[in-house]
Amino acid sequence: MVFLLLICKILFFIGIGGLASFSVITRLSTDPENNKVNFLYALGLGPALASLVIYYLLLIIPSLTSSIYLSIILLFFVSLIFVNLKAISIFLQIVKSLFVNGLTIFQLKKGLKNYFYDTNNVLIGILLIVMVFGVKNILLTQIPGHDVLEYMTQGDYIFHDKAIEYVAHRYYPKTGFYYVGLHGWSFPLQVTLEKMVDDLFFFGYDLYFKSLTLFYGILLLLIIYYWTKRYMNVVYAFSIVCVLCLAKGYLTSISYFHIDSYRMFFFSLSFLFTLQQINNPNLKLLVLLSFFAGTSGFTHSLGVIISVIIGAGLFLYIQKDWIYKSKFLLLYTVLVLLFGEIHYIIDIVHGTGWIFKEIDFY
Amino acid sequence: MISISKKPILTLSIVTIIFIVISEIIYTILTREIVDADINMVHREIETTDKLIFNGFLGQFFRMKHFGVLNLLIIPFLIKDVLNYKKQKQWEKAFLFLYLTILALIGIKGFFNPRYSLTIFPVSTVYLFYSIWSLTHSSTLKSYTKSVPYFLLFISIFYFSKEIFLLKFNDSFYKEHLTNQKYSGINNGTKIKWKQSKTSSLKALKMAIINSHLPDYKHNSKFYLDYPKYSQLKIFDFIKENHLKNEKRIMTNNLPSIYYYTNVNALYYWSGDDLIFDNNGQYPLFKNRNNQEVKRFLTDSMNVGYIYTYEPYNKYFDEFHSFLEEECDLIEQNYSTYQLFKIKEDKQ
Repeated sequence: MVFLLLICKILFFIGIGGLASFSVITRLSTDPENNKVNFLYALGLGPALASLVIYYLLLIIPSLTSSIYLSIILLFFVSLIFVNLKAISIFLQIVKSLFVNGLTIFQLKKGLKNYFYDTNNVLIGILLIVMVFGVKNILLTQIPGHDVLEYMTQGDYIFHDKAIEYVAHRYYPKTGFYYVGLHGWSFPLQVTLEKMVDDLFFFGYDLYFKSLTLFYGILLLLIIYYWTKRYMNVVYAFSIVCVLCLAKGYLTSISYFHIDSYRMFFFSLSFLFTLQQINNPNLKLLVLLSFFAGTSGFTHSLGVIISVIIGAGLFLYIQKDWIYKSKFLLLYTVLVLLFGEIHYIIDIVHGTGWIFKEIDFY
Repeated sequence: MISISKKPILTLSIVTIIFIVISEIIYTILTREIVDADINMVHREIETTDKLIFNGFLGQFFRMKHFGVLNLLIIPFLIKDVLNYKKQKQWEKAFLFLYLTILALIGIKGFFNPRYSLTIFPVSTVYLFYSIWSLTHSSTLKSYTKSVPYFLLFISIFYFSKEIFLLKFNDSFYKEHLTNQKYSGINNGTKIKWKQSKTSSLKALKMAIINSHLPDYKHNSKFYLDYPKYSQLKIFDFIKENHLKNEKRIMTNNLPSIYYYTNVNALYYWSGDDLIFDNNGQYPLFKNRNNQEVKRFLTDSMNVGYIYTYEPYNKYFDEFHSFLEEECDLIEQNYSTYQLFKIKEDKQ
């Protein structure tokens, strides 16, 4: 039953949220050649989009019930799907091909060499490996340590308060908990969202939140695989994925519950999209870059500084006149703030003071 | 040059061996043990100036324990690209600007924590392979294009295997806590002393995995029954019972699990900076107080009777460590050394 609930959450935030994101992305990037990789971006965007919506809802209209908040998120997703209805069939086609290709692994119809030429096959392969290694057991474990529990507790408290408030000291007198984190709300709000779904079913555990670590780690690998295969070749792409997985740092980041795979995903994509923008400036795709950079900042303080560096990079390296570049940068700044980094401005003015407060070790 | 380009396998084998030897020397230097160094710095592997520079500021390339050894190879490509900056395409120039600026940011602001370097690790790996691919594609080294990734993969597998099967076993933490576990303390009023015999490296690895993924008592009670010593359940059960009995509250040393897994009221403290966090903000516990005064402050003013902590954190601050040893009794401890202490009551 716990796993059934996990599937429901995945279908809602990653499935419907992913479809909503895919609809917008395919509207912005019309090249059908990119559909597969857009699908991968969209899956990652779903949960982040949900956390952004719930952030604004809890900030502007607090104290509603979980069902109302989730209904508004669903409505928002559905309205995004209406942006490009054609995306539904493409999205479903890709999902279907994942299952069809997944079955070929058992039929051994393709040679091993051919097998790796298809990103979908690799997706299924990695998922199977993960299942073999017992994702169930990993998810059923209790989380030790400090950092991630700090986020989880904060997310849990936001769920109970049904509000996001900015205060000088994020202290909860009832239990004595003091949130010492400096970073944005995108990651803790994933716990809040999960608790809201649990609230509807009157039970549930933090399996969805835990599964995000592995999910974003694998998703990033697949995107790297896709692009490196396209620009180099399949052997290089496969080697890069293996080298990443064989480094203790990356391996730990996708197996040990933490914020790292989530923030790395958004940082890496903002890096990629910045280079694409510099190569070929495109106002439509600037929205996507801004979302990735904004979410990267909304997830972790480091992402805020990086989004400033990205802004500087866009301004310095786009080969257009100064007026175009200024407009481009202005739009980027507004969107990045809108997509989450406004949190830090409010926190500096009305809250803890962010990095300007006394705490400097987190 | 012509003969080299004709024998890529032989040349790459020789280069690989030389690279492994060089990286092994660097690895040995940068992971050497320093006696009597600050435990916090030792934990972060930045306790000497050279370690601070290479493992800290330049951690992206030299923290081999976390990122493997291949990142060392990025350095010559990076130097070459910077020197040829003007000849690069626009997006390549932008890449260098972004990469170097972010690298500097991470080096300066996150030198103490390899997780910050991890941010740019996927980009570094792609950059390395792209540089090699570009180099071998556009020169007389074309015959190398196919073979190089296999050799890089081999080096990667070699170091991964080494890390798993050799280093874990020799790591002092696992040696002490997993392969030669000692426990002494009072459990439910009974003095317990036991010692676990040494185990194989594979068993140590298994224990390490269990250790870093503690069983969740909410879902997996069987695991707790089978392996009670690995579980935090007994500590949380004690804390909850304690709370129900309206006993004195707990001070948690930077372990928020107490808030997530129980609903008790606990005082938040971090020994690394000797700071208490509460409605008054943050202030030191031990500054200008001796052990007796700290004890009185905790028990009388803050109504604290117990301390929940993680053993490695205790050593971050000598005063806190000595307070635990002198003024407290260890009443519970699990495998991963999460500990519950009771502050000794003053004799009447």
